[in-house]
Amino acid sequence: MDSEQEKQMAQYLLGQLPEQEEAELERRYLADDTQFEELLAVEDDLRDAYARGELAGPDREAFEQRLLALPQQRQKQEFARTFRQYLLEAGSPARPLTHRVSKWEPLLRTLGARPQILVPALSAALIILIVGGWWLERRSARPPATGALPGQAPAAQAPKLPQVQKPPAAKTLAVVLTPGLARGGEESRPLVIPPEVGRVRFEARFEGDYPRYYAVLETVEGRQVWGSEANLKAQAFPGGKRVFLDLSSSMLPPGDYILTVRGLPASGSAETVAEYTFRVANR
Amino acid sequence: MEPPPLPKGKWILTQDAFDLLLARLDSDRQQAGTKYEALRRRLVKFFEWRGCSFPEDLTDDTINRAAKNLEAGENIHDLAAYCAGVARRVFLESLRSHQQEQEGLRAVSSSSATPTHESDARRECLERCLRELSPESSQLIMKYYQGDKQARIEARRDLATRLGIPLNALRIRAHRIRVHLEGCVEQCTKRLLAGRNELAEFSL
Repeated sequence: MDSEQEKQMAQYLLGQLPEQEEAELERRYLADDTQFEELLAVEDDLRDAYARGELAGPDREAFEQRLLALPQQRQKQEFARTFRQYLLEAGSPARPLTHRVSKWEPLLRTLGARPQILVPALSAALIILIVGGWWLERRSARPPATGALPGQAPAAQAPKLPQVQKPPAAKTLAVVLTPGLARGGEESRPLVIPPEVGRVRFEARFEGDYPRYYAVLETVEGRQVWGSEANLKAQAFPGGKRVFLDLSSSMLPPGDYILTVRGLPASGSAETVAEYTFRVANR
Repeated sequence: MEPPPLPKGKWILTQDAFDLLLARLDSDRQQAGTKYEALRRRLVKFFEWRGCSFPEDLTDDTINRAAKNLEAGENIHDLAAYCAGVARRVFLESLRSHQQEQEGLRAVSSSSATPTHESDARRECLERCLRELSPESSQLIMKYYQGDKQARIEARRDLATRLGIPLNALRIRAHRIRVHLEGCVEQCTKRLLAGRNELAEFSL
């Protein structure tokens, strides 16, 4: 399928095709499974574009009217949003892909084993062996207990396994951003994210009056790190308006960032309402 | 005892009419069943993409009409193409009521937001389901959908070249893996939320 066909299919899904072309496309995909699947793939791409905030104005409105009206469509969009967030984090240099292929997997697959069960089971067995060996070594090397009566063997003591420390629950760091003030510049301190913080909640304050907003976080080099859905609602407060944005701390390695909040009018293109710059410093 | 008379003008799909419909799709009953399901899926999406609130009902209506005309002796060469025409007529007939329903649905969709616990569950399930994919499928879907606009286009071309398949075949392959992943995530999310709700009720 060439990009012209792809464009035509996207226009069809957004209800922007002239009637004759629309009818012709419908005749094609209703009769042909390949054409139908290609159209479904274009729908996936449109959903991803919406999740990235790339659709604006009439396209965005059309998408919301035609592809977000039904519960099953909204469910698909939720998947698109979740998947996109995962891909953004996977692409971040601070956090590699979570799908790690164990070196044992190819061997286990050859043997017909199920790596999902055997790999953790083997790992657990290895841990037991190591701990058991440590315990035996300690037991044989231990000096006799003091206070034992002459001629009497020291009382056997129950072995103490090393304490397993539970990781503390991840915390959230709240950060207030005000337009025009560079955080990490001469006027203010950089943002230091402690190791126990799993999530950073930005409160972005601004003045504006749009029905909806979306936000994009980029490095100063222009690489997009994160983007919200195009349906943020602002809260009014005495200083103006604000939106809350939650990001995983793993998406914020040390460096300089620009957060842009854009307002989405009822019709027309998005407009920037505020930009914030901040620096994340080493922990 | 005789069954009550049908409402005037109401036609019910009979087993004979349905068998005739299947036979027109394929002489092999099993193949016909597969083609029927595929046709049905396309019609449901047609009504969905046209903005209809009840795409399944309108699909049933379309298939019923096609089956009725087939039983009445109408000469239909290409059933799928015939159903496409019937579907457009069914859509146009229901247009006015669709507009009223769309107003209501738009009001619902703009005010609803996904609760955080549901988003968290979906994310957890996505990670689980990705781990369950084969390494090849997992790598394909990650490479296919990752990156910004231009990088994504180039990555897809590279991927198609490496796999030795045309770009549209890659597109379909990625879509099928995505559909499988979506299904896994939704089932997992429902189970997880149901389990957490039970736990919450138990602790109360």
